[in-house]
Amino acid sequence: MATIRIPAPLRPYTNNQSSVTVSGDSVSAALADLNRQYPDLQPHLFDGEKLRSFVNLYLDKQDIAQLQGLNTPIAEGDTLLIIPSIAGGAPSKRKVDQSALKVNQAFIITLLLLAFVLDTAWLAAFVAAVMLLGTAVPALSLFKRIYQHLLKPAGVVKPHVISDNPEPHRFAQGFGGVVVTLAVLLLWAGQPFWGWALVWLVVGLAALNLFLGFCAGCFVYYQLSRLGAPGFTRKPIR
Amino acid sequence: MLVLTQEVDAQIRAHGAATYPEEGCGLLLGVMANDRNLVTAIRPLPNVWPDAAERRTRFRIDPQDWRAAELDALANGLDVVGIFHSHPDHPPVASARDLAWASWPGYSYLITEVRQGQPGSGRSWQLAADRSGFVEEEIEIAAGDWGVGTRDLRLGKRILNDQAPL
Repeated sequence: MATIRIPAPLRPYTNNQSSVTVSGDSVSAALADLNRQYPDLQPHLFDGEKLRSFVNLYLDKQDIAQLQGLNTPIAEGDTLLIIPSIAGGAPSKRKVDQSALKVNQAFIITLLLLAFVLDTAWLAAFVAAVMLLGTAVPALSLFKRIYQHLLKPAGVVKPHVISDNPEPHRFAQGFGGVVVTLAVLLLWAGQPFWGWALVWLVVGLAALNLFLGFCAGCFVYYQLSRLGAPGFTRKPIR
Repeated sequence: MLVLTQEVDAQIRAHGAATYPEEGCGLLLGVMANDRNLVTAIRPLPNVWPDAAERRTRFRIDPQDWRAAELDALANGLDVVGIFHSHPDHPPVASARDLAWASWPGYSYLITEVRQGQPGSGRSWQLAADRSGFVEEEIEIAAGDWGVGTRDLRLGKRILNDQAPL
């Protein structure tokens, strides 16, 4: 026979018993006996067949996860402690208005497609300049200003503010701006195939972000952050 | 309802100020009875959120620290009845992050706002029975000084039982 200590908020499910004597020679057998004696307790410890993610079981001073998990053997007189993992905190103060990003992407896609259809490198050059200027000085980001001062006040696009880091999005735009700049240089150098191929690459990545919500530039940013690249200090907000 | 002694209330505020600008955290020790969590002592614990730069807005309690605190509390005839943590320069409202990492309904989640290093108001929350969100609970600062210990706890239990019939 072993003993399982019951945390105070779970005692309503054990007839107010603070500890329960259980049979079984393993942790899983002991828990099965506990559940058999007090079936109402089960959903507070288990999510289906698995222990809830915040539930830790200690045999003496050791977390059973570092022993043999639920197969850990228990002996006569052992005591199992049920200890929760707790975390939390204030909401992140780092905010990004996704609507501003999406309007920006929509402008980039539309104007670059127009540049391709009209076969005018100058329009692509204009887009590259807006993207690079907006990266260097976010307040001068033309398409985002159109959102901020026209589309949002008019109620055409509603803001959608979420907890996120602005830096990866800025990096993504800067990267796109550099690629479009290269494309324009290739077009001016008489390389229309490669020039327009790079334009389409940026259109494709912006569309991936606009329609599917995957920011390839942000992905690269966080990979660089993970590798400790200087300047890439932000971690994904969990 | 969460009932704190004046001494415990002062200790929690002081801990929030001491750990500013990071979030401070710890356990509320006492007794649970008749839908009341009576706190007679606290156990401040280190904030072990892995990324130190994020501890201004994040906290985590090491389960091993909780285990030791629970055993010490038991030796004094007390239980863990809740968790306290501070929100530096942010209102004391339970967040989606608190919800994502919550444990069982019944524990009190006491959050104290600390603004510019000065402890401000506290609000307490309990996880809803269906785990869908936090429900605010009343806080009562008890005028009497019950101190800490088994004898005082019995007194606390009696007070709780007198206040609300089972």
